[in-house]
Amino acid sequence: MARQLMWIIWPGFFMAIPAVGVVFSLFDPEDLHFFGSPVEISHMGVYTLGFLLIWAFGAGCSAMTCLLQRTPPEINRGIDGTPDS
Amino acid sequence: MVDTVQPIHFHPKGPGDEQPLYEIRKKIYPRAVSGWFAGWRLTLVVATQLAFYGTAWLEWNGRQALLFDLVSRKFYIFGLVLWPQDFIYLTALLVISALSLFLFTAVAGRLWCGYACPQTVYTEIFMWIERVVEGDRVRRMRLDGELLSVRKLGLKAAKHGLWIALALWTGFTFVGYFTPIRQLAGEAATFSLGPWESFWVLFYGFATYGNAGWMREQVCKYMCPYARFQSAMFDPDTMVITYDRQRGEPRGGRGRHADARALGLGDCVDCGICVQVCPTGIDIRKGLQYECIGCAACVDGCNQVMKKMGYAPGLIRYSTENAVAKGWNFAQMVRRMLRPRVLIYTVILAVVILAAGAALLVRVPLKVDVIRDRASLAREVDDGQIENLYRLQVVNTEEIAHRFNISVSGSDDLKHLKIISESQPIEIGPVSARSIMVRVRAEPEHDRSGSERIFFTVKAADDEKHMLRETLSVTEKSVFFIPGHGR
Ligand code: SF4
Ligand code: SF4
Repeated sequence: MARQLMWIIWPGFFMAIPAVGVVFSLFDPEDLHFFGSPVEISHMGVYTLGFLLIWAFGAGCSAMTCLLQRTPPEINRGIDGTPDS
Repeated sequence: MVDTVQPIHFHPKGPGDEQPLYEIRKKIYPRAVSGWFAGWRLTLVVATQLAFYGTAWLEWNGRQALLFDLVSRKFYIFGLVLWPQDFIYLTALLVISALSLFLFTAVAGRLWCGYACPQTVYTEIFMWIERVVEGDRVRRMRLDGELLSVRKLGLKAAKHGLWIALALWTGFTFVGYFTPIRQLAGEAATFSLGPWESFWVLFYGFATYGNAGWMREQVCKYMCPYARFQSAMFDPDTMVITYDRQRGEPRGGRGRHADARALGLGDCVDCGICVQVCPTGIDIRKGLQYECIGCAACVDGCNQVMKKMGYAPGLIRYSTENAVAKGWNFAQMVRRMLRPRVLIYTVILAVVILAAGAALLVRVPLKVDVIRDRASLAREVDDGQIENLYRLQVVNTEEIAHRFNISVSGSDDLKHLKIISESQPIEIGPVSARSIMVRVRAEPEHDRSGSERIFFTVKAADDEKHMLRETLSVTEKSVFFIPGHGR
């Protein structure tokens, strides 16, 4: 379980670093609008939230991979009680 | 804090056996080692950390020498100021780093891991603290096996206290590269750090503490992508930590003065030192494994044993697969270093470095963007002249103020082309940008409509010819729109 959690959290973190780098070299937080009104938090805040948001999406992506990677026996176990082999 | 780690029981692992993460992981108690490589590792730990903790405090031109100022979106790198427009240089830097990594790896394996990777370096520092507080390997193992006592609690508290202090200092320094560190220090001293800065100090500090204090070799084994594709970068001529099987086997204990050959033994006395010193807990005698971070602790450890036994050093050494298999000496091995793969990496690397360096040298510290004002269309003013409106974004990236003159030129079809507006020259402060509205008037030669190409030239009025570049001047093109008749 712990290892799965790491598979989910870690790659997202790793990729979020270059991703925020690229995103915020292209977009100035100054120009950002949130539902039509300018964002009112500090630049540092925008970068931080952007980072966390991208990280969350990355983690979501990894979680999907983990889910889809499970083999049929792994998924069926628990339904009909077949032991894991 | 109670450590729930079990005393180690040695049960040999089969090849390819992986230890599960965290909970059931067998704690590794690396034994401290001294020797040639350990000396180098220490030197690099000290050097990289002096650079990391120290550089943030350096000053240049009255400002922080190395500052990635996120708020004003400018990167100060000693004499250089990069703007978001200079993104290409950061890309080049990334390409250079990646290529160097490939090159070093192809030549001498995971040098990065063993000597420079923050994971190794912080683990090394944290283990040093641990050693100072809790004692050597045997004492640490005994301490962890003991029942909780005041002494144990005190030692653990001292260790974690020191670890946390160092981790926070590291987090603070990290943030200090993105927010001016002196200002940050002032805020920290009065407990008035901003919420986001506090978040990052704690976050980075926590990551340091967790990675270097608790997770250690597991980061390399389970989290590091580099370790996973090392086999793609290695070839039989790559220098890696190698156990000389031919010389060592069959292994076995013996008295110091016993004649190993007569006993039918190789040089390995099977003392297990190489396993004990290994920070990732592997046995290098099983051959190259992806867990090996190339720290050479086992080389130092084994060499000490060889010396004690009166044998030649180098039973475990930096060598290549080919060299060990074919019994090459060092010179023969090094000759194979210049193979196509290495040469190609080197050439590409050199080209990228030269190109980036040249681009930086001739870089004009002035940027101009011409934006046609879309809101107001071209209009006809008195005496048949046409007027267009432009917005010029002028960025002075030098750390001195400049005065600039703006001029306009175009084809001969536009008579009396001139700028009216804004008294010239305009002054732009050091490392700053200004947006200037410019009205351009002209009289079309023929009675025609359509668009004509024009050029804006922004030229410093106070700049001399430099050694490496011309006078500070940038020309940007735009279009001059001539509306049709009957408008
Ligand atoms: S340290 Fe050297 S002699 Fe001792 S077990 Fe390892 S390889 Fe053999
Ligand atoms: S096998 Fe040797 S070089 Fe590799 S990680 Fe262990 S001690 Fe370091």
